[in-house]
Amino acid sequence: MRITLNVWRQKNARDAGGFEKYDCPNVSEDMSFLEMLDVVNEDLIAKGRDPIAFDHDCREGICGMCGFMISGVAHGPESGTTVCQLHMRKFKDGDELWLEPWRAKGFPIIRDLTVDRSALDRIVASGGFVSVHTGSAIDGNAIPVPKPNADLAMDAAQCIGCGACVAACPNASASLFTSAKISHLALLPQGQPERDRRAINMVERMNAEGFGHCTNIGECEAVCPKEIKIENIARMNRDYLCASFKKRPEVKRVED
Amino acid sequence: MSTASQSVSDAGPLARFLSSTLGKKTVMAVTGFIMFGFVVGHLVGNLQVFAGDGGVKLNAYAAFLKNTPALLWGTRIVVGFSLIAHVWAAAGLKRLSNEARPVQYKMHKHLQSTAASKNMFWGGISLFFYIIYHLLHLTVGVASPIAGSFSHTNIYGNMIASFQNPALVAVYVFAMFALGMHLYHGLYSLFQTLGLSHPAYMPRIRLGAKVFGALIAIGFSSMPVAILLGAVK
Ligand code: FES
Repeated sequence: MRITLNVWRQKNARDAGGFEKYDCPNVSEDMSFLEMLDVVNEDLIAKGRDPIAFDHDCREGICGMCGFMISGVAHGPESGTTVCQLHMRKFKDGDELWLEPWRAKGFPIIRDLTVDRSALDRIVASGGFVSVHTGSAIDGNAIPVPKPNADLAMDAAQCIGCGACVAACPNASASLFTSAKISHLALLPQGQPERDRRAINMVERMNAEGFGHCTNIGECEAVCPKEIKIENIARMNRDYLCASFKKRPEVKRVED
Repeated sequence: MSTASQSVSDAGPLARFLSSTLGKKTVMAVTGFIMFGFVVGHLVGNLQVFAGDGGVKLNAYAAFLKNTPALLWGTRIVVGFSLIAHVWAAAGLKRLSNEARPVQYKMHKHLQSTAASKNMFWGGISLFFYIIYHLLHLTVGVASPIAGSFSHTNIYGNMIASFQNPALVAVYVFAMFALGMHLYHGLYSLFQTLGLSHPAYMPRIRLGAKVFGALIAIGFSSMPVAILLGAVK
């Protein structure tokens, strides 16, 4: 099949960037989208031109490295799928596609389709952890966890941090990501000691990274390759609200 | 501890809450709900225009409100304050959202969001200007088309005189359509914002928001339309 690609090319963060057109006459429908780009890149390299930069790692939909917009939809037209797991059979012969990087202030462009998503790492670092004791390992079933909670926590923990939710949101909000990271710990007994602090710190970090607010419209949920639900955002809001009202002034350390 | 984080934690808890996106969203949800409550009361009171008594009931209701300043001014202050807080939070959030995506997509498809949810900001702006006009028109009585003949006691007469004008009726009906859409997304959204979400009752909340939005829009529109058509004289 024949596919025409319009790819966003941008040398670095300061370059203005623009679309370039590529004609791909021999695309096999068994290729994944990234394999198709590999073929385009081999061709570009053979011609002595710069290959298209795009992020990828596992290519099996579990690491969260890949992702860009395909004709206005994060990760392309197949729902619940990362772009590395998207196959060319989902497109028609003669299709013209537009590839763009995630666009958000919190995701500065590194080159072409790759963006810097370390803002998401900083959100996790601000509160996405639990305290554990460092003695001998405790018995596996010592802490009872209700099955429904374990399931919900697992659903939230599926988030691979690809950033598609930010990319799809009209406000470039990172609420789905942050709420998934808050939820998968808040739903488990091990996450309770830091629950309030976690909600406050992660939400404030999310705001400080320059992501927008959530208008509850659900575009993030529609593109999430792991099908994380916006119910998690409600849980984050609830935790943040309660934590803000329960918060007491911290005891200040006396400087010596 | 860095000076930056020091200054954040030194700010009072309320200031800190209000400076966050979720704090502002909470303000929008709570004040929006207060204004929704007012709109329901306003509609129920005004539907007395259909009493068929030439406005005796409606004017008596208006007189009752005037003679109960605690109720009238209490409501005006609470609703006025809610409106200001709602607009303040919306403006702050809109500014953040504009900054959050400095470069726009060439192509961006919307998969799931409703028209109501995408037009909250511009719908809200339209409603804001409508409210100013509406107050000047039927509360203060200085806006056309009845600026000269406005009566502070015969509000029924004010309505009948105004809504003979098809253009004005169109403006009111359009504003009420915008209000219905705004309430449809707003009523659903406030549950999500306040964290009152559960998969079992979210579909019902969505349906309830749709029904209330439609009822309010139809209820308010019915008055100017009925007057224009001569059903209420
Ligand atoms: S490359 Fe790992 S999820 Fe796509």
